[in-house]
Amino acid sequence: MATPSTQATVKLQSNDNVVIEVERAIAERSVLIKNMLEDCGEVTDAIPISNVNESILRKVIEWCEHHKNDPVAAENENDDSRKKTTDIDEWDQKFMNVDQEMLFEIILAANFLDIKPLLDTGCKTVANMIKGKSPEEIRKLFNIQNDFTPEEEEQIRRENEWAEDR
Amino acid sequence: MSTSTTILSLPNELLQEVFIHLVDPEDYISLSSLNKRLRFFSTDQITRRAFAKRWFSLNCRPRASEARWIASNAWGSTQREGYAVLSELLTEKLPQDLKSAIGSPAPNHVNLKEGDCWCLKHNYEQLYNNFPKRLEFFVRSIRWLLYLPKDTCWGCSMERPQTVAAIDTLNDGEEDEIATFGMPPNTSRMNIWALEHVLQQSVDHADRTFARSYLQRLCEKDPLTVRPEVANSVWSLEVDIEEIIIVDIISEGFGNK
Repeated sequence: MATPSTQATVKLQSNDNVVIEVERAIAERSVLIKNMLEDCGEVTDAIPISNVNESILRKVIEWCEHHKNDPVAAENENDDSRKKTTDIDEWDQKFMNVDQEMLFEIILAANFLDIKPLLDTGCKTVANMIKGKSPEEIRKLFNIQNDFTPEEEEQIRRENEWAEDR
Repeated sequence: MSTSTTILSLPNELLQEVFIHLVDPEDYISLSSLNKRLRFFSTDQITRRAFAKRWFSLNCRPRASEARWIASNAWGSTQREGYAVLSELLTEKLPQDLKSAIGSPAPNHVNLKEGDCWCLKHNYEQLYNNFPKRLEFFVRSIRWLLYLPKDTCWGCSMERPQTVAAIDTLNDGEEDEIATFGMPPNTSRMNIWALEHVLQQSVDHADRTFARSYLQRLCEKDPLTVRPEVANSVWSLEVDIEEIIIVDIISEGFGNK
């Protein structure tokens, strides 16, 4: 492993070739970047973030900046502690108040950059959008085509019949 | 930015994350009814387990001290008592004053693992006393989650098929059916679902034997619940169906999957 670096900032390059300089501590909310920096030591070149465009990268950096002092979950806590609430704090709710395309791009970016709390927040946001809606309402919300045959639909209806109000 | 990133643009592992984060089982069912891809995900055992684990951790989580107390004092000494309480719960006939029931310590509680059914009982009490409107939802959720393998966080020491049978006995009074078939026919829809998992996971010969024999029973009893593709998968296994008679053994094997 390389010698730990003391550099204060790092450069991130979006897939549309925009370079954004950001505090190292903020960038290290991304496990991907953190590991990269630990492995490489001092990095002067911009780190290519190949799957993320500028607007999403800025948005992700904004989230990381706000959460830079949050405790980082230990690896073995990942599966449990991060999932033990359905609550999204007020700031995150506002942050996630974006159009669907951006929301899903943020989720994809969080996954690529390995920022689990942001990924959870994104998934919780989607889950909250779905909460209490009928299948037809959800289809409309996400513009999902129904590709079941009438027979399959009937089958599903029958399978789920037991869960309906008695 | 790509021109249209939608929920269906998410790769499989992220769709699974969305399923896991759903708030209620009813949302899970709704999302699974939208299209074929989502349906496929909803029936994936790993997704269902992960969802159930999270759902229970959020909804059945008394404080550790309460949990210990309930585990050591409140729960019955045998599985039979467990069945009785669960049955009462599911038929909404729990004693008016649950505290009096809890106040009768069982002498031999140690054979029940902490983290077993106490959570259900505890939460029933909470819901019954404080959120009667949610009770029915909770009961239905439990019914749904009971179909999961027993090693999910549900963690109940009861064998699933037996539990289902017990519940349906109370709901439908079909003791004769249970005696004859091991499970009543009205559980067949969900068992077909579980059956598909058994097949998909290329389980060993014994389980496939069970799958086939169980399907045969379902076909005889209620052929409309059996999807043709599932039936074909099972029939193509060409396994010996003589083991059809050892319902208890195969049921247990099935419950462990």
